[in-house]
Amino acid sequence: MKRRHFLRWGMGGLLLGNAGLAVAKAWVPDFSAIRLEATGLDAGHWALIAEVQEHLLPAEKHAPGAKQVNALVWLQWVLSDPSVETSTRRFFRRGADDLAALCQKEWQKNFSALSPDEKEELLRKFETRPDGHDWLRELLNYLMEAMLSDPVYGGNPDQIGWKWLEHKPGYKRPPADKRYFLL
Amino acid sequence: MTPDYDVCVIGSGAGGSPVALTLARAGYSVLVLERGPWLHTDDFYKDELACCLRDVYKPDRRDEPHIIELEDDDGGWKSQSTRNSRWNFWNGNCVGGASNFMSGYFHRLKPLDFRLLSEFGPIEGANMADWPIAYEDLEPYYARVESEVGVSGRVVSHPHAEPRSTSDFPHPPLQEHPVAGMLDEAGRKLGFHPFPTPRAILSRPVDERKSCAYNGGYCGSTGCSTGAKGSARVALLDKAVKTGRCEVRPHALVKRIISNRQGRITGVEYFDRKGALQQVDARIYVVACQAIETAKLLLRSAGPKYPLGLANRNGLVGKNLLFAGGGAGSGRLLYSKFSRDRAKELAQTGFFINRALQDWYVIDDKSFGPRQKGGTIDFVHVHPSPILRAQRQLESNGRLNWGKPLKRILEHQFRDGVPLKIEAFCDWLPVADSFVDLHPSYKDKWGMPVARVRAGFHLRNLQVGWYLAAKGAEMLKAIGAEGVISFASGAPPTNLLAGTCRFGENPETSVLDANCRAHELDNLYVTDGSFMPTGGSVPYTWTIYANAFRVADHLVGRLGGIRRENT
Repeated sequence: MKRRHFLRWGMGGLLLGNAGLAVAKAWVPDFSAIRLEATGLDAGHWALIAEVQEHLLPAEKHAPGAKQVNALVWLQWVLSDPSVETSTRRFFRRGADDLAALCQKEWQKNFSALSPDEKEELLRKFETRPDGHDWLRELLNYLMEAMLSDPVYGGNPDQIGWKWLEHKPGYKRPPADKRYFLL
Repeated sequence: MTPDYDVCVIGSGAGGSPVALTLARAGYSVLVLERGPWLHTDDFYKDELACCLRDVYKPDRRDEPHIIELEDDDGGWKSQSTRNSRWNFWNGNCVGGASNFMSGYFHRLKPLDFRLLSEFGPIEGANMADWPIAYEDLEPYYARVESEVGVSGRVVSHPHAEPRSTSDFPHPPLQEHPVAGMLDEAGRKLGFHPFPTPRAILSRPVDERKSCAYNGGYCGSTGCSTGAKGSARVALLDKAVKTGRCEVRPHALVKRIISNRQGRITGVEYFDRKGALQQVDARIYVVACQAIETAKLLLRSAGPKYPLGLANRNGLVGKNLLFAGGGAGSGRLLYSKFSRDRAKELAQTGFFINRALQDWYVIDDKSFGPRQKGGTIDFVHVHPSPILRAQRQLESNGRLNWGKPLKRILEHQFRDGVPLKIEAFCDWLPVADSFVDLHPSYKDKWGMPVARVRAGFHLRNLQVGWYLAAKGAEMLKAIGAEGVISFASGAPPTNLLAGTCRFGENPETSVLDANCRAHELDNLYVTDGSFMPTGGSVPYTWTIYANAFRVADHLVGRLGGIRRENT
């Protein structure tokens, strides 16, 4: 047996410990207290991200979409955490700028003016760039957070994501005063 | 001058707490220093953000990273900081340590695990060694853990079952998921011997601890909300504190153990909650910070007589770091293959599968090679954490999944069947390229050197891991699971740590003596998993608990026995 053959599985071991996103645990405000300027992105960036999120997680009759799981506010909440590094905010901002630029170059119009098929084509093109791939992957990661975290944090309202996927929460669920940043 | 305490225990997890409880009960004053906060049962929730995505029970890796060295494809070593990576080598920094977050799959070592070198001979490229004690020395302490920590299960005879001094577990088995019965039947047909996995989880209330709430596999990574899980905090330290002779000091990060020109330890220096340095002294010092941190502490505690660090005259502190070797696998029981009623039963994921196989604890299979050490196979539910489960579906063959196709994938993953997992444990052979030392220049936020962890592995780990995982896969196929895969990985599981201060008779080839006392210091002991020269093919926690109780009994004897006024 060749060592290289095994190494292919490198990070895939199910015995691995937690491999979560490296985000800080300092106190962050509730959704109602988010200031856009604290996110490092402006209203234009957020409008584009909202459109992209809706494409990545479209609403369907029987299954929630990005808007219904509060995905946009979720990401704004994450980025307004004062302990999040400036480089993280820059990463999201730059990704939005790059996508907007690519959109102008390819279609000479704004992302919001594209048809669903055109959006798909553009995002698939963006995905072929390493930084585009990473940006979309992060948007998807946070979409999953917004959809499937405990509703006490503000995403997954009325357990809409849990209900859709028939997920049963464990005992006990965190009350508001025991959210992770208050421990 | 009278020391502040009889015993100072550094680290409040599975290695430190048995010492604290035993000594406090025997009438001695004990101080437990714990770097993390003191969270209580009421502070633990099934909160995926807390446990698994924001890592609130661990130090911030931006302040306190590890430098990891992994072998690259060309046989060189690639170094990376965990600062911004998916690797996290911290495990539960709070009172009770990582035992708060264990799954509690409890298996004992077997008699042959204490003498792998004599039993199977040397292995090229591995530093095999026999233990200086035998299974019989530890057996009474495994039994003590069963009652003191609370282990539930049912003894079933199988070819590699270890001898026991008691006929059965003190607590009946936990409630079982229907897959347990299916595995039993498949095992009978295949000629295998599945048995109920003992768990450090109460199946009925004991004192202030409630019984299990049956979350269906949420235990690992999350703290227990009922006190059923036998964490060192709830099962041992709470009792120690009640004696009135054990003080637990959270937010106390030990900077160094101080020694004088004569080589005697004069005290311990630690950062308090505000970051100010404090000192305390004791008659006996017990280090139990988990393998990596224990080695770091000894190495950074150099003194006039110990220029290489405490207990490190022979340079062995930090060497022979053990993770757990093994393989894994998965499969899925599709509801569509069962009647509606049966599917309903299967979808009820609250109860445990709790089945294990040790038929290949020794592999005597000519097609595989000479008779050799094998390991343990556990059958478990996939951890229910929904965000991580969903995030694993975001990419297929390097291409991102999104839109309606992603939603159909998620529906299939979450709703169409029971996802099952195989966890196979084999020895992580001790090798020269698996060690921890202090990084020469990289400092953490406290100004202390960060750990450099080289996680090299022996090819044998993978061969045995593949073998065991494939046997597990046979079982999954036999119960009708779809999409069954099995594999092994050389990636170090960061939650299963041992080695770095191996014990032995010979001071030239070991760090600790048979009582886990440092060969070169009269009053320094190490009682976490660091003492293990070889790790066995099971999770370590039960053995760490048992050995710490054994050392604690030795300490009581050394200090003069049980104090009369407490009997």
